[in-house]
Amino acid sequence: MNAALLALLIPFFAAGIPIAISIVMVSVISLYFFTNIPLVVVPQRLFVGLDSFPLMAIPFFILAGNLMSAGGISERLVNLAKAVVGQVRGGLACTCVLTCLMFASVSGSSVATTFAIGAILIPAMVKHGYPKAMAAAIQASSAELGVLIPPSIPLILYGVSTNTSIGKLFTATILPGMFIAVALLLFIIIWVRVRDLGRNDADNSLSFWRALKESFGAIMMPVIILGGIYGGIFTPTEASAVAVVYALVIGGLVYRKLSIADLISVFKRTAISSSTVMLIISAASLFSFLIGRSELPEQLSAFATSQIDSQIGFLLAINLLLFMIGMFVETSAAILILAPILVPVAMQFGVDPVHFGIIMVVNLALGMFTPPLGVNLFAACQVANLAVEKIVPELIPFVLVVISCLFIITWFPGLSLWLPSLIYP
Amino acid sequence: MLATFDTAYNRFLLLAAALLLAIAVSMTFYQVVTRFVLTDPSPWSELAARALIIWSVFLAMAVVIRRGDLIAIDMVFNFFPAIKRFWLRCWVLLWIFAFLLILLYFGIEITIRVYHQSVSLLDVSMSWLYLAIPVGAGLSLISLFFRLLELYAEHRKVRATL
Repeated sequence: MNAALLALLIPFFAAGIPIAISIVMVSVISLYFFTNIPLVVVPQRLFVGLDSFPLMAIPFFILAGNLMSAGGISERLVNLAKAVVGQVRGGLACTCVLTCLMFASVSGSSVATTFAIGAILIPAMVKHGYPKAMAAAIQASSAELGVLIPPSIPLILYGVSTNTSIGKLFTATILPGMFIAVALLLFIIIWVRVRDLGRNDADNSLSFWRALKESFGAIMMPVIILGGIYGGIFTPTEASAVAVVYALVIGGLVYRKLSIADLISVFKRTAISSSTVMLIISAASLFSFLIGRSELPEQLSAFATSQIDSQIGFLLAINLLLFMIGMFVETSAAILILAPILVPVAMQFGVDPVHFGIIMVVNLALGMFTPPLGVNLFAACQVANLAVEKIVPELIPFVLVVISCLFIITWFPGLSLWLPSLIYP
Repeated sequence: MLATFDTAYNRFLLLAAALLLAIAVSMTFYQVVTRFVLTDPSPWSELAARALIIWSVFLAMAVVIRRGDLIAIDMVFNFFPAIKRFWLRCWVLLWIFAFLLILLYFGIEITIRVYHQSVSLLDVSMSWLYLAIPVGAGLSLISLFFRLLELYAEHRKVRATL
């Protein structure tokens, strides 16, 4: 029944049945037909899956990000990024990467990043002569930084489902995230010269100091959140609540952009989007209860060790598997279902669970902007008002850049593990 | 009449879910304040915040279902002509219906079963927490009905254009 359980999910997902419903109904079917566990375990596991303090960081970080966007932080970050990299040729495209990098540190989601930044920069890039599809491709690929720079919702999920320290994961992801950002920046600088674009990108940018002054409140947010977590002052969940209050103060009192009506609509929007994510989390907890009772992790581990004899071979195989899964399956569901199964196998091969988490999240983040099913891709195309097929040729080089980064991140565990080893000796 | 109820019903549920979220954030922030400013951490705020989030998730579920916002891999709809999509959507709704019935039925069972357990540190029965599941499922069944009505209205429009 073990493998059947996983395999049964595929036709459910493919039939367009919502992910949370698919996971619960597949679990119900296997409980009913293959075990004698009473079905009352269904609501019980759904409840237990949500009744967790670390998970509460998810709605709160979504809320903080939404508040920051409504408070007008996006324009300010764009101005700052433009003041830093706007002068080089291709500066506007570079601004997009840099703004996403900064925005990622207040928002845990890459879709939110795509909407907030893309709405400003895609039209700006198009106005400066970039082809629309290329502008959307740049935005979709930069936005993956949203989940790679802390706070990151997928990393919280990985931490919760595998009992790995969220603080460690947040520190571990900083250098790989920066590394991908730098790789994208370098690639863009070369690529605009090849394509002969981006000659007038420096138009109407603000002076660095003015841009810094105007965005100071916003860029202090990551300092407060991360400083608080690493300094051991508060837990990630408490940090997320502090972030919400900070965003309220900055958006409402300092920038004076949040009206009461805005506030209500932000809270409503957050209630909707966190409910959709939390339902998947809740459903996945029922599923992992079943997986935990089966021998699937042990069997998989035995199979993998009999087929693959080196750590690198294992990691390559995992990357290929995750890349394919990431193309189709939604990120949080993929992490919640696969991480508890794969992490014990990875540990058998001597892979550090923190490093493995980073590999998993980078890989699934890649899946967010690869067709056929990439949430960033859809968001960027929606902002650019473009059909998804049109973006694909422009997207390929960016996908290749991130794949190369992924290989380097996989190959050199130090890139992920060095920073946490300094902070958590 | 039915449409007015539908709008008011969803507006009320969403407002309630948003309010619970706001209270949960305030409580968690309050916990940080009590620990640092008053150096006397409040023991119940974390538990209460957790309960509020669970209620918020299951109340918002009804609105999510009404809007058809549950996250799904819906590529399959592109392979069907507009006129056939309605039946495919009904098939999906049927699964959601089954899901909600299970949540409602067994949710009530577990709510009754945990009646005598009380939440540690708080003097309330666990039932108040578990109750979110059958209540959310029951409210969602009503939403599901309105979702079906809306999809059917759209379907009739598509059919009329043929």
